[in-house]
Amino acid sequence: MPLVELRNTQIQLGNVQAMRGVNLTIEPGEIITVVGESGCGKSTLGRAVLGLLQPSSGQIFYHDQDIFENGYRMPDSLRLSVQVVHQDSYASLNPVRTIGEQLAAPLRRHNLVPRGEVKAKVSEILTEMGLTPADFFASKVPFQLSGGQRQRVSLARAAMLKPKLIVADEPVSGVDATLRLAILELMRRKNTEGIAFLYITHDLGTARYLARGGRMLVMYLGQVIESGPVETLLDDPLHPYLQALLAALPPLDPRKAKEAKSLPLRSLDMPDATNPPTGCSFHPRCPYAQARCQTEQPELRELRGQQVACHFAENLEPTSCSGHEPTDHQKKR
Amino acid sequence: MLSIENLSINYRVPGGAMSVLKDVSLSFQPGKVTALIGESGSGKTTLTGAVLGLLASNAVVLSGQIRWKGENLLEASPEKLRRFRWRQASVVFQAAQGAWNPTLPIGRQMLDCCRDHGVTKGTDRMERLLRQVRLDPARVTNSYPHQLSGGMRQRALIAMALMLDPELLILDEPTTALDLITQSYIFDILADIHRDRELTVILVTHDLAAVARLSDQVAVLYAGTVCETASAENIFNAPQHPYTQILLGSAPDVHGDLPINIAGDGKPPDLRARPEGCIFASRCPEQIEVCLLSEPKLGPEMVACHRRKACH
Repeated sequence: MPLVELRNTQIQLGNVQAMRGVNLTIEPGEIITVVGESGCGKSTLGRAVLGLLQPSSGQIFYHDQDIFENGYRMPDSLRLSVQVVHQDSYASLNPVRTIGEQLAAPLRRHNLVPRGEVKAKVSEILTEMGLTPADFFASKVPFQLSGGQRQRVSLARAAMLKPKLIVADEPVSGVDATLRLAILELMRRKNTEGIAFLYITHDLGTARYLARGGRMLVMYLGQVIESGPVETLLDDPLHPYLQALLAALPPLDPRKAKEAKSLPLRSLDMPDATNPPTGCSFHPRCPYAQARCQTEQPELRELRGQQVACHFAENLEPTSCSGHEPTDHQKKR
Repeated sequence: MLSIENLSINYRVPGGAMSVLKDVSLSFQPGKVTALIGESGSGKTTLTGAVLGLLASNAVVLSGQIRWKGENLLEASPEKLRRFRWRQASVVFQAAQGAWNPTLPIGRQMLDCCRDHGVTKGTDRMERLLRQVRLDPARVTNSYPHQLSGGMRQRALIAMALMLDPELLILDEPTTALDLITQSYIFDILADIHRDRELTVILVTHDLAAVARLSDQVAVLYAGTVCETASAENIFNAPQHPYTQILLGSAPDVHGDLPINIAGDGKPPDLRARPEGCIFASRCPEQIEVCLLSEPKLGPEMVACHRRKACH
């Protein structure tokens, strides 16, 4: 039985359809990463999975139970089974309470350990998260910790409730580069203990690192346009949008990075989300777009071990209108 | 043209002082892009603030010089600095972080900076520069900042920084918080501008991709000290200092081998009480006794590390 299932779920935020027709099942112990640019709906997807947004159509199931069916009343056990780590570690902790108090509160609230053992449990959790000496960190308030340390506290707080799933929305983007891997490693360790992760990020590198062996979903203007095993998607991107994203990533090699290249895109600007294009929502930017793409919305379909929403993914041929206006850099090549 | 010699700066904080820059010496090659990389708290913003004479009011310059064409900027009068800024040295901040005044149209703000420096006929130049950063002047000049996307605001800022034809351009995290595709586009524009104008550029960033794409030289900062300077190629292909190695090894790529986490847990050093020895020693996987006893200097090898010198 899947932990969480979205069936053709639509989320309306103001006058924007932030998520359109998304189907997703999250199985126990999985790591799924959701990638895309700002405004693509990946955080909305995360909030929907957390049960924080009511779908305008479609359903959200926790363990086969439609969580909005009875006016959003679900038993604590279900509620507790999905937890979250936010991007902003400072805003997600109470600035005036100590770390120890903040970690003890949920343990007490949900009677997870006998009263007399709460303090010892908090120490154990802090130690496990690499925040040692535990007493020292328990006595601190959030501003006294670094971003990386605060994010460990957030992860500890989410994981100690023994959830089945943690939604982690850009948990390391605010953390210094050298400390990111350590936090991703902690998440992987929690995963081996049976917690599934939904990792939302714009960073394809850390997506691959955390979700290796797992699945990746690529979103564009509120829709999932490609999904499948992480390695397959990165090595053999089928959708023109994922191809463009990967092409935009400068290689970490000065010589290669300085070679001029033009992105396989007709337009660099994201269309207006309040009025998404007809047909395939990527067609105005797609160098391979044909007449059919303007009218007919492609469905996700199986191809080469992945799912892709593109009419022409098998043989992408540049059309006559391809290529955005080149920059001077490219012209002078 | 620009060089920094033995610069040390403290910030006064309640109960003491934070040593944010300690004995920093760097020279910037004319017409080249020098990247300053380092994590939050490494002192990169303080360093560029010192160059521009824009240090916070609690900053205290303990020692050192910033030489611009032979003159020490730290001793320049406020009026001289005011003219130095924008005419000779301009800066592109992160557009996302309130670099624009939200209550005035973009064009008005761009022309204001000209007028303030005694240039009255800036309209033609403004339009030409906006086109150079691939913006439509007719649309952008009359728009308020909130009416433009993040990428457009950032490009307009780049155009504004070039209004008075400066010789030195400081890019302070110019692509942070922008999407990959927008980033790639702005990298192209910056590379074009640099090539056309032979500007001396200081690129402040923690984004290694930006460094690889744009820079010729790299200076790696850690906790207010320079731990290594080298050409971009050497930094990426043969990093010397253990911190540089960890920094480069911590960015997972989308292909190839995944990095192994060697950075450990790492605590940021307490800058209120600098240790006797190497500031990186507490996090360094190669630490030996001497690292705790004496502070390594940036020698002729341009690496401040005891383990990288012949004598240890």
